[in-house]
Amino acid sequence: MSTDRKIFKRSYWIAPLLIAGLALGGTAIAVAVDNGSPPEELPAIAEGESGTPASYVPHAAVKAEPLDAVVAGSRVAEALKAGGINDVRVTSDGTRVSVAIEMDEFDDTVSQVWFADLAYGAAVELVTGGGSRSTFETVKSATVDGTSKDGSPTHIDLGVGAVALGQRFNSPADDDSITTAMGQAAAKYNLKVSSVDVFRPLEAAVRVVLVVPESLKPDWTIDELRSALVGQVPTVEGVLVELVTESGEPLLTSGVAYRSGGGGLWFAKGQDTRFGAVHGSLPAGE
Amino acid sequence: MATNSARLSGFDRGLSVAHLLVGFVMALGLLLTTGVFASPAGAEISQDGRRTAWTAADGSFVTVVGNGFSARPNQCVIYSTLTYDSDAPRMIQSGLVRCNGIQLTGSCPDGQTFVERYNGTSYFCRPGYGFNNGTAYDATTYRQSSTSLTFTGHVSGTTWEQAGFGLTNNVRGYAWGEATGTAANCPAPSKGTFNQWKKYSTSAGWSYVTGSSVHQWDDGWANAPCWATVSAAASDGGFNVD
Repeated sequence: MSTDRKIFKRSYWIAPLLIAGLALGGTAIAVAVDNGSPPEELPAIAEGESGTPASYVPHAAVKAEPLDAVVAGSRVAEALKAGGINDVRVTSDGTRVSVAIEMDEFDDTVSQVWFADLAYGAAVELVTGGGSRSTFETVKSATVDGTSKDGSPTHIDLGVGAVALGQRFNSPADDDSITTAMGQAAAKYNLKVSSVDVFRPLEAAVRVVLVVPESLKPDWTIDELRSALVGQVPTVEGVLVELVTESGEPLLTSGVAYRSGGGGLWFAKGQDTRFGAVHGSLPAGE
Repeated sequence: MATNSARLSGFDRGLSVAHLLVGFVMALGLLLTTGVFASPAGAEISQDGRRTAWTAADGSFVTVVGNGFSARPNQCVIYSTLTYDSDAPRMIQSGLVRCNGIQLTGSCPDGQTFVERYNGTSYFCRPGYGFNNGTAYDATTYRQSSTSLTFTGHVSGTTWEQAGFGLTNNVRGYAWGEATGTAANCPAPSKGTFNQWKKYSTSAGWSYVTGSSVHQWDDGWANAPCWATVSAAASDGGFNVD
């Protein structure tokens, strides 16, 4: 065998080894780069906890006369009775407010948490009178108690965020105009309205169920749809959007309550990608 | 007259092609086993940071700095710490988020801290105070007691709980940068710093994370991974993503 042919036969293995080596090296770089330098010196650290609270409308900090806690709780519970709210008990220690909500059935679903969040936000607004403070400064606790589908008692803490009090959404006064607006917005996205329910914890909150044609490949996101339904600057204090198939199977449920800052998202497999619903993710590849 | 090295037989040419194919298959196999091509269900994401080696974490604390975000349209960029029970599954996360044109989970807006929880089927988010780039914020998640199934998450201006974590399950702490959304590319430039990363044990208290490993996952963004460099961990557990 000539020298040239021996060299060539050795080179048979070079190409595949090179390819595998490049892949391995590239993967190693992608998976385990671990050769940087330690963190830099700490920058300035924020003293205490303060800052600008979240606000979903430009006109917040509106001040009204605070309402008696018992009266406020009763009013909110009555307004949200159809959403499964049985009771809203509001207490105050003179500085901060505690809200205890009782629901018929509670399994920590997006829609149930949404109704609880509406009650929470409205009760705090009424008892504090709004003004320039935030929920973090004025709320001590907010909880929900209910009964699970299996009959066992359930209890969750609704948490506390930093959301501006005194938000005004300038909701339409009549429900029909809200229902009409839902239909008009849905049509632009090739969606059919299955139902619209308007609630009035303080201003308006709307639950809308929309039917998604099976063949629909949306070139929009759930955030864009929500803005179309209730405004880029929302004209309601909460919106619950349920997307379902033509046979009524749930695809995605997104709830936002703007007084308490609560957001919830449920989706069937792959529907978060389909509708561009962005959320913090679970560690992948585990 | 052509030399032997220049004139190949048909058999030799076929053999060289076969070897190239073998190399390609080997490479593809390597990539598949490392999970580079595997895509988790859900929106496009890139997760780049570290996770604790310890699988019985009772909490994770870090002083987080968002040096740069640069979220693209329909994208959120997060720097956070979280505790994740992969068996339950449950997750609670606290940190900083900037979004472009959208809000995280519908209610957590651009420029606010946040706590997010996952209850096994749904995600929930609540915003805290606004934050500044380049400023450090304490973010924490922790189990309330050795027998409690509930974790608390907290960062400037917001506190929340998530029940249902296991006591002996696979529970780890993470600190990472995450980009998520429908944008076509990673945010750029983007950089996060995690200082004083500590893990919590209900019996032993807080201690700096040692022995952490790099956690990186992306589902094929054009310029992924979004934070190609996860630096070595310092003695206080801290590191950068860049």
